[in-house]
Amino acid sequence: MSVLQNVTIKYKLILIIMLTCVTGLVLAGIAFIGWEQSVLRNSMVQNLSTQAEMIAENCKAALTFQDAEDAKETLRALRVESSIVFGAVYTNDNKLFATYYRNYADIRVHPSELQESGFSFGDGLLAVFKPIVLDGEVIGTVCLRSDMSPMYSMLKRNIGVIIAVLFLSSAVALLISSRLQKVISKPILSLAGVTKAVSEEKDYSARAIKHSNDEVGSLIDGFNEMLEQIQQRDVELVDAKEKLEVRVEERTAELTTANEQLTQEIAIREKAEENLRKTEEKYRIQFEGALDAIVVTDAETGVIIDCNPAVTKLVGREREELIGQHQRILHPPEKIKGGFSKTYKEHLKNKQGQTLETQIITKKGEIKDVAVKASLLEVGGKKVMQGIFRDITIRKKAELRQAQLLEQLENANNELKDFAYVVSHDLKAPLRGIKTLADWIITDYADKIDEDGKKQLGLLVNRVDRMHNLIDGILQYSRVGRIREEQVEVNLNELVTEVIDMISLSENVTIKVENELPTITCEQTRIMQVFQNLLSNAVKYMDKPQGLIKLGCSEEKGFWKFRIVDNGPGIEEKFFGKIFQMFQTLSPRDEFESTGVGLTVVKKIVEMYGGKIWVESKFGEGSRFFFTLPKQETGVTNEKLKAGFIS
Amino acid sequence: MRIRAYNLIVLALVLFMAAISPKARANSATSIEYQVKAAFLYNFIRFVDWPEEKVADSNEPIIIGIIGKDPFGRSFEPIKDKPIKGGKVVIKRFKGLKELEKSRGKNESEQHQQIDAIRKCHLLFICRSEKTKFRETINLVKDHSVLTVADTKGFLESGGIINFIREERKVRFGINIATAKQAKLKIRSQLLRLAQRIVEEEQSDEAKK
Amino acid sequence: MRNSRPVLLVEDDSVDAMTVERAFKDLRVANQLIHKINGEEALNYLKANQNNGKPCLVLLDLNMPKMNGIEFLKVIKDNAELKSIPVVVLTTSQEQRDKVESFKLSVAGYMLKSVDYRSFVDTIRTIDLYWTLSELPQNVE
Repeated sequence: MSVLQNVTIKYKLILIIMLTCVTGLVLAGIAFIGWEQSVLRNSMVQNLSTQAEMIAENCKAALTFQDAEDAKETLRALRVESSIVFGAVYTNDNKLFATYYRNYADIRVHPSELQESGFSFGDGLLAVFKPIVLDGEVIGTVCLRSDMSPMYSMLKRNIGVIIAVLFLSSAVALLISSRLQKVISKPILSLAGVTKAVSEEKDYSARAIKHSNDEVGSLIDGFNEMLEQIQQRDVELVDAKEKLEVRVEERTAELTTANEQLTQEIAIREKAEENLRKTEEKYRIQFEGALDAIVVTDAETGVIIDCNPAVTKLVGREREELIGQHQRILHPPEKIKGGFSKTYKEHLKNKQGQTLETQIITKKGEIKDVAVKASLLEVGGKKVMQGIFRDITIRKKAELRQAQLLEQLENANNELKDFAYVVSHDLKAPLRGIKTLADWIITDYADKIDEDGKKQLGLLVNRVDRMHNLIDGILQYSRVGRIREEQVEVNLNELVTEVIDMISLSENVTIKVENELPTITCEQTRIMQVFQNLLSNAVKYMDKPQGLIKLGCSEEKGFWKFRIVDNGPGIEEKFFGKIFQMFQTLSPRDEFESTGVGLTVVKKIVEMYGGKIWVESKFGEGSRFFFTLPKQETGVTNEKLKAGFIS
Repeated sequence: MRIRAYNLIVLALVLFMAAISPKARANSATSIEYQVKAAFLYNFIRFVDWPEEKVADSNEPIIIGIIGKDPFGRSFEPIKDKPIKGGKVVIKRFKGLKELEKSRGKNESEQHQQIDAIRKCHLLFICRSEKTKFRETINLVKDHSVLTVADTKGFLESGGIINFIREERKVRFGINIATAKQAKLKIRSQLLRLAQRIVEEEQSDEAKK
Repeated sequence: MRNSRPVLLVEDDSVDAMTVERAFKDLRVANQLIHKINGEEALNYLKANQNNGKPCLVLLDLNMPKMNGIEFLKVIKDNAELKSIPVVVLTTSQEQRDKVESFKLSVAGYMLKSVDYRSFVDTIRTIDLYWTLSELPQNVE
């Protein structure tokens, strides 16, 4: 079998075809012979039977009439048939009646047993039995025996023919098959050839030629496609290889640099470790030496891991006493909730890094106020809370005092408010009375009072007025800062225009707004008061025939700088500060009726907003009043303003 | 019927007596001969074809007539029930012509009946006793397709169709094909072949004499 | 004032009261001026004179002893008979609080007492003019 397997396809095909053909033919031949034989046999039998029949028929009379001779005579006719070796007529009790022998009286050709009818083969002879029937009655049997010689000779002949035909057919089949096998083998062989060429020469561009559209054709297609893919992959492979080489180079370069970097990093790392050690040392020193108490606890359990000497100072417990204890030992019961101090929980939750206030309790039971700031750290894989405590008892006390003071102050303020009201009303009332009465006296007793008297009464009235103004001034001053207004956006341009309108200007005085004023967030009345006081001052004290008052503003870093410049009398330097003092006037009141409160109020207002006010002037050459207002995005947050203190 | 039964018993007794009588023994040899001949008669019928009109009615049995002194005796016993050509066989015995003539005067109808019966036979065995009347007897059945058989010398020449010939220990026969032809009988070749003697002599009208 | 009914002046300061009287005289205001020095006395007067002599106008000062102006206002405005009498506050107070309270209690006017008599007279003149022009309900008339 293996031998066959290694034979070339061509021979395989031929072999197959031949084998098939030959087998077919042989089988056909055999079948044919077999059939022929059978037919022959049958015909022989038939033949013999017929002859026996004839004999029987012809021997009827002889047998009936016991004429053996006649029977014999009849039998003798069998000589014609060369194959018949024996013929006999038996009576109906199976006694030989007449016989015929081809070759001498050979007992051997007698049938071994008699049948009534039918045939049998035996001893190389065919025996046919036929009953002799006369009028429906069997009177005897005819037996004929013939040898198989015709059959054998037929057989021989047939076999000979068959063999001849076989050879002939085989030869033809060989011829045809060796031609036709090419149909199969040629494409396969060519494919094999191509394959071999491809594998030997590694030439993937080769392609097999498709000859037919059958399985071989599709095989060739597949093969070609495969080659295509291989070729492509080859190309890709070459490409990739190239790329790979490039990448390898790059990688190598990278690795080299990485290696260098690594060496560097290691050096750095070592340095860093050294630094770390130093830092740790530093930390340790700081930890130990810190004034604030530092407590390190296990973040999960809340057990104290470490603490510095400052803790001992704070709570009066030694380090050994604290380590291993739960952090709540530091706090009084009211500051503990759920087994942990409240601030601890808060810190842990979401307030890390924020300063919270709580209380600690010393060993002796003394409660101290503390500010604590805690953060979550990871030390050696473990989460710890580091809390820094600062004793804020003093601060707390101060805060308390402050609150107290605040309260006092507020009360004072309220008192003052009421006081101001009272002052305003109750002080003014008698003044009013005095004035009115003076007025009536003047009116009613005009004829009874002399010039001096009238003058004196005039002075009386004047002094009453002054008193009135002073009271108003005080009231005004006190109102500033006390009465809180809503902070609104004020367009200073509009405000200044209004103020200018309100001031009664004489014809010789002009107020000029030099540039665009900003819009600021402030209390409207207050700022109005500022501009009003300053402008009215400038107007009031104007001594020049052409009074020019200029108002401007400049933007500085973080504040507005307003200026009111006049060409009035000017102010001596030594009075620069004085003019802002309460009730201070530079000229006697008889000359310029003034409360002396105006600038004081302005100063108070400006400073309340966190600004500054000053004056630049040369005596006789006018004055320049400057004040600044800080720029605020969201209004004034000045602490003083907030507190509403009266400075 | 009492008479018939009585007759039968008497006949049986007589026959039995005859059988065991020495004469009967002496006839054993001849009885064999006649057994054979009886069988032959049956066989003849097998190999002879009567014309259509004689065997038209298949239900009618084949009649074997024996005229004269019956030599067969009981020879027909073994074979009388055997069918021939699918039909039964009947053996009829007739008196000889002499006696027939004698009785002519007495009962004509009976005589005619007899003659008709004789003519109806398919095979008529004319016994030796009728030797002198062969021609007449043959004439009688002429044109009636009767197969005439005898075992007397000169039968064939007398116009008989088959005649037994004694040859040593074998029974042979001869056939007159002419007379057979005349009687419109077809004798199969097989039978003819077996005949020891074939004669072709026509029956002449001389028999009428 | 258009009618002959009196005007009730509720004022504790004698000088201020004198001022109003003088002003009335100067202005030739026909109406009688009834002067009560505090809220309590004013109320008593009003109650006594409900049916006749009901004032057609009340000039009310706010800062008074015993019962001040606001308290007085509250009372009369609570009183069905008295609440329809127009009340004009005549005060020195410029306090916003006072103004608010007064108008909350439905004052018909809030006038400032000026220091200057002349101005004061102007104020009274205006009140007189106004309340002469203005209609008043019958029970007040």
